[in-house]
Amino acid sequence: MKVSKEIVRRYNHLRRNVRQIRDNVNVQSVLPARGSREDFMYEGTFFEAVGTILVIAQLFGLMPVHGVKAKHPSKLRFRKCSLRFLLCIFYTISIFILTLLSLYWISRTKLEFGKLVFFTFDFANLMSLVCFLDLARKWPKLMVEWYRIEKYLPQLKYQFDKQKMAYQIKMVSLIILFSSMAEHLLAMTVGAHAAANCPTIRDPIKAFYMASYPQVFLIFPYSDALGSLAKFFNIIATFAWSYTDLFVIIISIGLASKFQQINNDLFKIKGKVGIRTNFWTEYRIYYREIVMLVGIVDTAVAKIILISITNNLFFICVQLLRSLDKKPTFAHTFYFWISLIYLIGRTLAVSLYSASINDESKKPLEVFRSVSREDWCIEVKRFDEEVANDTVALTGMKFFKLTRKLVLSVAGTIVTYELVLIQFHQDDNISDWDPCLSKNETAKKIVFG
Amino acid sequence: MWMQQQQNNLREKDDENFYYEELSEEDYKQTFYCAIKPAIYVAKIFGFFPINISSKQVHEIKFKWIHFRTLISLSLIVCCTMTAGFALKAQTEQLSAANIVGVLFFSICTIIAISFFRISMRFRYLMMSWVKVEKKFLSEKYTMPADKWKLRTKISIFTFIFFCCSFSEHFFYLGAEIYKLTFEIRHCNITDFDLFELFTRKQHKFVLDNIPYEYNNVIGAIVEYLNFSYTFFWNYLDLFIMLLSIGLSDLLQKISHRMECLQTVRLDENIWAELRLDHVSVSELIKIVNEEFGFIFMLACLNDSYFILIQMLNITTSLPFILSIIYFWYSLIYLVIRSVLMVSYASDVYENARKPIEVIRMIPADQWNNELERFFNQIKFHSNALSGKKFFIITKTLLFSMAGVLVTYELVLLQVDGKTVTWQDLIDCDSRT
Repeated sequence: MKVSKEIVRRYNHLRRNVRQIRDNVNVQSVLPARGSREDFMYEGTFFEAVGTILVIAQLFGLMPVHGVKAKHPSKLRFRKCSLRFLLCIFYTISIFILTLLSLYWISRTKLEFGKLVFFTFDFANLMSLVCFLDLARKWPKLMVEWYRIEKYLPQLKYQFDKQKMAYQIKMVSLIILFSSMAEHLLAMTVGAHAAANCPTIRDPIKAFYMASYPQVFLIFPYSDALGSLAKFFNIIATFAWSYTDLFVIIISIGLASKFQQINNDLFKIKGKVGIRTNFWTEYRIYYREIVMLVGIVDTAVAKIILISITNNLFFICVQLLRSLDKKPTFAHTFYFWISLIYLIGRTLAVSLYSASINDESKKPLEVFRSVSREDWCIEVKRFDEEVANDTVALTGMKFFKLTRKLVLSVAGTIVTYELVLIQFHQDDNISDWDPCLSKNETAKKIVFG
Repeated sequence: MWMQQQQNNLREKDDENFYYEELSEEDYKQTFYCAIKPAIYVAKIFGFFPINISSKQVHEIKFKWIHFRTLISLSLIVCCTMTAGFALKAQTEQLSAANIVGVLFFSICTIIAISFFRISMRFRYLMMSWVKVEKKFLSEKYTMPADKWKLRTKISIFTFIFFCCSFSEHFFYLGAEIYKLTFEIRHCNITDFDLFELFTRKQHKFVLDNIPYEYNNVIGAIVEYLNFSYTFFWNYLDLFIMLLSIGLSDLLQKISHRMECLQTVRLDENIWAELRLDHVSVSELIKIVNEEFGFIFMLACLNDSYFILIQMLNITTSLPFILSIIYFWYSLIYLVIRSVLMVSYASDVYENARKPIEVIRMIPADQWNNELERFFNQIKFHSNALSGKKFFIITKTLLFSMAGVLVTYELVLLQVDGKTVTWQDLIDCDSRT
């Protein structure tokens, strides 16, 4: 169809006008963006609180989902042909190779308890990478469901309340990631110090890599590039190790804050008279929705919780056992105790935050027993019975429920096993994988994760 | 954490709005505050509870930061920390569960002292909440029969017996050490000595070596007094928990006693509502006690378990002196009885809270109503017990599980044969300074 020049000219003129009007109205679309009020306003949803953490994790290849910083969770997409997904697959395959190398190394040389740490570290991180990939597939649906339930609950009125959960999540992530980084740097420092004073190998970089990654250099000949590559994957694995625990904590904070929202409203009417029946109906339904949300999240995150807890338990047991061995230098002793304290602290944090969901879900009981006689009705009774009889908690694939009682029994189990293992403790022989320890030393070298 | 802060703020506001109704003389005599005053006065001698409790009214309890009482408490805490540090420094060999006893003892005493210091800061709030609940129980409806002991008598007698036993245990320990010292003096042929100086130097070598002052008798006396204080801290933990439990059980017993008296009478729903609300107020008080003392309950259970474990390990060691043997068995039996009593009294709170269930079960069908049902559900399903920071609740079952755990650990640790200690191991003539 032939379009007349007049129409084209008018059309272009109109387009230019519209652009000018738009530019005049919103200059900021031309200039680099300054933070506006909208950037700092929170909606109080979990989706927006967790966005930054997920972006950081995606740099390390965990949870390759698109659209984590969008405004609405319906924009989340799991795309297979994207850079993030390929990065994730690449990291997974390399850690898989490292795990196989560790296994091969252990089977070739003598089996020692200290070598098992290498294998378990790599294997656990491989498992968590795979589970996070699996979770990434389900993440869009999970977030949409979470958002829907959050919008269904009574909305918070003030900005202060809305940003509380996001603030808590950000603070906890900051602390855990920074302490993980500090612990890793300390490990590298102690390793570098030991490598610099290595009697057998002159080159300190070679000594450091040979001591830290013996499983790689069993098969491949030494080269600086290979050592650096192994170090790079080790950093990815260390991040994944901390991130598993951090993720469980973040999920727990998100779920517990929903219960807190309901509890705040219930405590406001505690001891008062003249409460309508439909108030109780309404809040019972909100409570039910949150319990349903806990169930959905639990199913999605179950494997990650299980990996996190078993991983922590194993490492604490192993490290406590190796606390009995004599260390070569004071630096080794210092690093060992710092890393053990960090490990125990992180495990306690995971247990206590996840047990807080159960604690928060039981708080309405105090409100129910203060309801006056005139306000007691069948709805309150129903709500009371539900809260008293249900155990709402995250489970590890339905094997156990994460409550405070579990923390105590786990601590008791660890102490019992330690006492038994201590009886059978013998100082391990000279670690023959470390080229820096001469044959005369009987001390055992610390293994860096 | 923010939520807790908000709750704390709410508490403070409540505090200001408390109607300071003064208690009459007879009412005051029935309160828990009056009953535990003797125990607190004794604790004040050893630096605990730097608060002013001279008044009969609970709202006049005062805690001041700038006061010589507070300064003495704080300096005691600092001394305890330093002693723990010195003990750690003197520990030359490889640390294991058995030879860390000294360090752990002083560390636990430090933690106890800090916890009780924190409690003295919150003591006014605790006592005001307690009196608020107790006022409901001061009326005639809740009078107990005259042949039952009053709270004040119970607590006074209990405190007295406890202090006798714990002080006698400490003096027994001193006696055994002095006997060993006289033996050493005779054996090493030491002439020209001052018994007190020799004794103090031997006992507290690790402390005296580290302080910059030259030894004189005043310093020796101070160190001995500090040592006595630490042992007192260690005992006082259990005593205070027992006193709290007796106080709470007393309130709950009043409720169940009133219910038993009214069992045969046909009761209105109002009376049941009143009884239920009284039970609720005691539950709220238990919740407040749990929040304040949760850490202390945990500490007490761990403390007792650990020390019983360590003492049991030494059963197989045979000691040279008869006095040492008698002291060892006396202290072991005292330790076990103290722990068992503490857990029993604390679990009494749980048992007494559940007593009304028996009465409710006997109510005939035509008298059943909503309030009764609520009361029953409340007692059965809500947790009305002392708990260690919600990790565990203190019931009689806990005693069994603690005993089971201890036996397991004993069996594991007792793999070695008992050793024999002769007096030559204990006395070293050349090591005196």
